[in-house]
Amino acid sequence: MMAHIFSFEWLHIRKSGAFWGTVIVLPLLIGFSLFLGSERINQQEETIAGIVAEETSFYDGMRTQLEAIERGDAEVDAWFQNPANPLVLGQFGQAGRHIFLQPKPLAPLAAGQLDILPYYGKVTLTTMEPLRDNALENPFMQVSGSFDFAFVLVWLVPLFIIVMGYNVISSERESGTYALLQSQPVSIRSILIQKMIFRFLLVFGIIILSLLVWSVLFGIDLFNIQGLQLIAAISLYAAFWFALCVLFNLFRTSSAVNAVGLTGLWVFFLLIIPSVISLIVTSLHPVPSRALWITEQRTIQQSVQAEGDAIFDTWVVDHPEEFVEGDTPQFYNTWIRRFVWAQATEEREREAERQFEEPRESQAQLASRLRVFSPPMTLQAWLEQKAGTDTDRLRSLENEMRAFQQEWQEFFLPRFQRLEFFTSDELADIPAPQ
Amino acid sequence: MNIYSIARNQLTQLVRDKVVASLGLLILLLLGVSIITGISYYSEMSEQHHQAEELARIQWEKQGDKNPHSAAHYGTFAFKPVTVLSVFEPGVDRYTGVSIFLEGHRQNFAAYSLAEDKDSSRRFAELTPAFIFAYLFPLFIILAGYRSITAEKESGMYRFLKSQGVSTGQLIAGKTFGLWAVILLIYIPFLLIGLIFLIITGAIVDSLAGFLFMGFVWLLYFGVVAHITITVSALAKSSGSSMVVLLSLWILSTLLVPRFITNVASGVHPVPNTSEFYQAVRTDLLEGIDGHNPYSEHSVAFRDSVLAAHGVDDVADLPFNFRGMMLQEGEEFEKRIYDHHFAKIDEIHRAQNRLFSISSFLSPTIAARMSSMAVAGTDMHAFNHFSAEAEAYRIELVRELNMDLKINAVGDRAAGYTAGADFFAQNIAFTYERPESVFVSSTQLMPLFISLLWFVASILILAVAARKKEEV
Repeated sequence: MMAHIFSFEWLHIRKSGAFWGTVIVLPLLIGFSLFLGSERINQQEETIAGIVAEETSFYDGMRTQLEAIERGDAEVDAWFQNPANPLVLGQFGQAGRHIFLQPKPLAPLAAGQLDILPYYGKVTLTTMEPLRDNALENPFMQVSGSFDFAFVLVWLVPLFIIVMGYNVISSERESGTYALLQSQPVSIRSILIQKMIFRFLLVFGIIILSLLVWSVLFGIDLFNIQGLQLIAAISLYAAFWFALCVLFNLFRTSSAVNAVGLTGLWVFFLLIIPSVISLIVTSLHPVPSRALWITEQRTIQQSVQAEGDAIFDTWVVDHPEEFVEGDTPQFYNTWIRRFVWAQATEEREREAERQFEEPRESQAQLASRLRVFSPPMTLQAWLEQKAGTDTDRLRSLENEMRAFQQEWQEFFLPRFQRLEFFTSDELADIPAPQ
Repeated sequence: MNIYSIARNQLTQLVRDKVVASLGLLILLLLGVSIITGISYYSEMSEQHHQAEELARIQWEKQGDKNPHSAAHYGTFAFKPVTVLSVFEPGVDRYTGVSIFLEGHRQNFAAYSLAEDKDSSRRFAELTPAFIFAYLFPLFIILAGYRSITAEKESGMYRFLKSQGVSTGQLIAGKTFGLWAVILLIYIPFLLIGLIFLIITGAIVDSLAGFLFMGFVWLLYFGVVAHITITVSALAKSSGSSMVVLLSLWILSTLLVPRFITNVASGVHPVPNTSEFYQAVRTDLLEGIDGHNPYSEHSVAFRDSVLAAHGVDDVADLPFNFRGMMLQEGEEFEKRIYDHHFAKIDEIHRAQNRLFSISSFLSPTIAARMSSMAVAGTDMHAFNHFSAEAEAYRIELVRELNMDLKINAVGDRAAGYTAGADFFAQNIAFTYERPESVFVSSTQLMPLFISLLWFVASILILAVAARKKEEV
């Protein structure tokens, strides 16, 4: 019976404009979004490779120079040119390491928050600077958002499904063939379900087929467990919208009413619920102004400066083994203090930064709970998570940078504090992020 | 007379239609909520903004005795103004930084955008009047109007009306006016609420023109949607197909074209990434005077020329502090380099904006959005205006500092010269003033012009549809 209905459906549907529109437009949209996604990843990988190469050549250069000095082939005049000096290796100019959040395999599918939050930054002994690749971008781009696969899937696919499914039964009623259907030995309901399953398979097939073909073309690897999960998520999402279409076709409403109702639901899930959620979340957990934060930061820096001597003296008392007293070079006296002050500033700033972190985290938690009311939002969040472009992952950059900075400090600071310079062999041990 | 009766009948029908009425009420409700939350957000932000501004100035004045050039390195901040009209149209506001750090030797980017601190659900949709007008209101108009003509045909009323001597033109005109009436029924209360809000906040004088312009821009947009809706309804075979066509147009205009064109624009006119940009600046900076390095080739040449001009052999014999002079000379050179590179970025943004403008021939939404951002003072141009003012202030402040060093750090006072609180309190202060006119740049007129074109074109196609039907 099913085969029968399917073959009739096929004869029927291949005459419809909606079907051919879907067959032509949907693969093109998916292709374009994947093309942009793979371009984005290529660019990221290029940036990462370029920076890593620069970093390597800097430290290679330091090593060559140090070897030359050790052989007696070269000399340095000033302390800040000496490649054996921990400050030169860990703090100044090009010294330091970049920390990257490497793109995940599914990264081309969702740009997520990448246009707002940085995916890499630079760490030195005292600084952790997230680098915004796109600080010069036209902000109108961020307003309108990325044309990525997530957009096509979450926003547009439901509309194609609505166009394919809004009038499956209602059109039979309107064209007068409903009575004919009723005279069949099969119930209308079962015909409706099977017609919908057929259409679901068509749309699902178009999406999966074009996703796979374009992915192979653009070098996106989907033949793994993550690809399977993605396909499962797509089928669930498509099934959700087809189920809504079935629901509307069960009522004896006209095609036009169905179209209005289904579009209304689309608007409800994609525009109204998200805007209400963002309203609730930001009203319940407001984040204070960054304008004030900037002046606060400066107050903190000034307070550390004002208490500078006291802070340093306390530190010396607590860490006698980390300080060389007596006739030490000028740069040592300057920088040993700066490190202590930088640490004090950092601690106080982190404390003050909580006023942003806490509401931000509460916002995120509440939003993730409220998101269940909107399948599109849930899917979007899931896709971003799989792509590694969600807010949580991008924010983890800061923790990774902090963790690495600790490693960096543990390597360089004790040597600086004891005024022990490096030998060229030791340069091979300079920490690098995994 | 016929037109009036049809219009009145259409209005009555729509008001009685439960779906249309409840959707209209929903939109009014959303508008109300968005304005109320927008206001509280605005007042909080502007309060904090003022505090920050005051604090920054106090910090500048109380920075303690120091060499004026050290003060240039210490720097200060310019805070992006919070504009009242951003309650209605936040534009790019949330995506641009709230403050620019102003220091000697370099021009910085604005830092800390609001978007960085907000939850990402807002990227789906954010409840602001601009969002409601750009996305939801057109849907409401489509819903109210998609069957205005088709339903008459489907119910047989059409032929009846014809036999009564009603021409298609009259029918279409009547339906159009009826739809307009429904639109105004929602829009006028909104405008009144907006005006009351502006009066309460005391911002009416400065922002009335912008608000009225904005009101006008959205009205044009609604008109375009309404006229297209009636046209499609007149030409469609059935209500269902009218709905599908109108929805497709809506998707094209609000979702597809904007996302498509912005992503294409960044591919066609790419901006360099931040590190490339600074690399290019650094390379160029090597070509001129480094105010901090007296031994560089350019600095030596400059020193020699100054010594020659004053007929002395040693900088100590000059009647002014040479370091102050050289720092200022270096500053001006650095500014030229930065200006040059920022101008290139600006050119790229302009090229991208031109593409957006062109794409608004396909999407009236883009035209409306760009115009409303322009008149609300929340677009890229307004932000650039602020940045330019901040930069002008920075260079003037640094000049004051270097000049103080140059003029006063002479003779016995040269060694260990410091300026104190008196001097810093006298330094120029930054107060950003928005330009008097609604538009800060002539390029902002382009989208407004295209909005007008859309409006005229939509009336024309309506007229064509009316005539075409007449022939049948």
